[in-house]
Amino acid sequence: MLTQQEVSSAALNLEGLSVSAPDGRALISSANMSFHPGVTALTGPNGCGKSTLLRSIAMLHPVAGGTISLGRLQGSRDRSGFLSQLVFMPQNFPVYPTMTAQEFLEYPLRLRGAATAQARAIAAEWLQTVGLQSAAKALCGTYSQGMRQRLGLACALQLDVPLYLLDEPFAGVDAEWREVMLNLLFRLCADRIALISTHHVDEVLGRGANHIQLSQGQLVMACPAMR
Amino acid sequence: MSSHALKQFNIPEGTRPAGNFRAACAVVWAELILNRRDTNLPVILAILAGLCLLLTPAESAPYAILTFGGLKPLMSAGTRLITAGIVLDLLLFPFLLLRLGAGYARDRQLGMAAFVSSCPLDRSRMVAARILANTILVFGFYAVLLVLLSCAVASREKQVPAAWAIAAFLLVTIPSAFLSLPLGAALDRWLGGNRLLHAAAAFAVYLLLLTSALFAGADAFGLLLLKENWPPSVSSTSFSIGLVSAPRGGGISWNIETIPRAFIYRQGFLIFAAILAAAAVSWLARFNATGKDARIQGAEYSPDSAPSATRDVVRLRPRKIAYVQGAWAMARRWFTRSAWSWMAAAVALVLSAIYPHALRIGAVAALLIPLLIANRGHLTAGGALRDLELSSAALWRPTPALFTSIVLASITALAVLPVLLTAPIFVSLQLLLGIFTACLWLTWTCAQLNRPLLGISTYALVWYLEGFSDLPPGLDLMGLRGSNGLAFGITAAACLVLAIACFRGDQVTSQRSRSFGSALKQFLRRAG
Repeated sequence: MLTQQEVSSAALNLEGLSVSAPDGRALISSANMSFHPGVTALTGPNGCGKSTLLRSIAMLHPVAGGTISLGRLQGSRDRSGFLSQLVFMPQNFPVYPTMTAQEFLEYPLRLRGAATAQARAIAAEWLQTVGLQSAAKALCGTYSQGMRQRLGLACALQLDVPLYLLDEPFAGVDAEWREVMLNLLFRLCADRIALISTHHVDEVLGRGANHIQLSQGQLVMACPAMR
Repeated sequence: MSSHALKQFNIPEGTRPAGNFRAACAVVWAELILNRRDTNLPVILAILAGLCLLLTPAESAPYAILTFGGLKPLMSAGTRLITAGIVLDLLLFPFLLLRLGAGYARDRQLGMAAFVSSCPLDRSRMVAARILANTILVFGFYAVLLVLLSCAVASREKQVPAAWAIAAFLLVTIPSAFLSLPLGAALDRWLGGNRLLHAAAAFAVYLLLLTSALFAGADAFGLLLLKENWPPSVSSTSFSIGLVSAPRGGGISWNIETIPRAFIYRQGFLIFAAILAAAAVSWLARFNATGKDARIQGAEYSPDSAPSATRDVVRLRPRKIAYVQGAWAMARRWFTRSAWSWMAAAVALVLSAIYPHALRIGAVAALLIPLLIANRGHLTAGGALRDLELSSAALWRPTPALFTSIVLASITALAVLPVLLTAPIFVSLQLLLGIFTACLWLTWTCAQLNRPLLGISTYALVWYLEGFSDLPPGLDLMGLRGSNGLAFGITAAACLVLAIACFRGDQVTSQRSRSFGSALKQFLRRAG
């Protein structure tokens, strides 16, 4: 576990990172990059490896070479410790269809040590924050794509961790809620590392995000944040 | 759409809506591609090759595939081929019934149901096209089997089976395979959403056909051919078929001398009945067509208005949780709104408390708990949902799949606690090991392989055999009829293998290649 001070200052370091696609095609070769607190947008054409990079950092996809570390934690040495410091939100956010939204938000909270009453309270508040309180008792399987994404963001942001890995978090969310969620993300992740893959660069750059582009197997700092 | 309309809407000539025939051809084409690229194909072929060798035992082998009144027949190459065909029929029918559906369960599992439903081809034609694709696959499958069996027979007898024997083999095998197509499609269409019911119905159909073949004269497996060619020297009317233990050497000389005309008519009638059934299933598929898909689309909600200003929010700083806390969170998820699981747990606990010395009663009820949990889809975490679980530190104890199995086994064991406490220590130990192995099997097949139907149907079959049949002590893996060294050894070995598979599956889940082809490419690249 990282201390409270480390949480707000830890950097995510990729050293000599190489990642291959499941079919063996090289996606990223020997990349070196350090991510500091703040929101970083990962962009690039379809199939360039944005999601695979996020999955590799979340230890869901093997790295062909190099190391990934968060502060003093290295995933390959202490998987459980490393995973406890991050939240991963997959693309097209998946849900357990037979759980209600309230139960769905409570589950990760319980898995991370929240007591029953505490989990219930936090989940209820986050449902209100993402505008799903009227559908809180509905089964997640009946949610639309946009509602699932909002639920996914609530699922991720309700946890206070140093690293957020969000894969296309706003896909399918309507314009009004997109604005709200973006503001929330930037406010809550000002002193946390948030890596988001997106195709809508303007809306995140306008809020002062870093911009990393995946180009020809390299991570290229396209536009450092003006902060 | 007229040519004028195509021009008006700027639709290129080549992309006009396909006719029903073309669309049906496209469905057949897609199904054949999907099956041809099944990553399990090499494994299935290897198993079949082994099975073909097993079904053509040497004369000195300690087992036979057929005995008349306990006597092992000595057969010619042709008769061997036909008999092996009958045994294959009996063995493969439930497999075909479960495997060759109408694609409904698969589409739902892949999230393709809505996409497929929106295709302009109506459901009847869609099902008919899929049955046709399965027919082509079955032909290919039996052609491969015929070649493998002929090779196996030729290697034993130094003689290739005659043409009439090959024709008889096809007459024996094709009708039952054909019959499995509409039945499998019907089960998939109407019971595909409930895997336990699907598996139970498939086994019920199989037992029904088997019983009718033996006693009612309606024979789908060619068993009557054996009765029509009964060896005159055998007075007993009993026969055993399958892998039957038989003394080495000896036996009677027996061959299928004639293929009766009645047999040919019967098999022809079966093929005709299968075609009629396929047409009926295709036609009926149009009814209740929206049931499952409509549920996925979901309800409408009154939209909550977006807040104008960002509100303050409470967040949780994660902390490490105890093993039991994680298990409790997982078990809560499984039992929420799952009345059947609650009921099975309660019944098992009550029965175990009332009859603590009747091991089988409590255990049979308790073993339903994991089955019902798996059937609710709680263990099946496909794709991105599995990523969510794999990125949860609390489940890495030691890995999510093993943790799931341990929690599942603990719940089951708790339900039979009175029995475990009163039974002899070795018996309790074997039951515990059996429960854990069963839970590992369900987790491995449902969560890691993403083959819930395979896992649930096999589990249900073993559950039935353990609970309600007279298994020999050596095969009583749960030890419900008392402890047995051999059964304990088999269970322990299975437990170890499955535990390693679950452990490795999580550790290297994405290091494995997605397909056999890409694995081969990677291997060649490394070797090169």
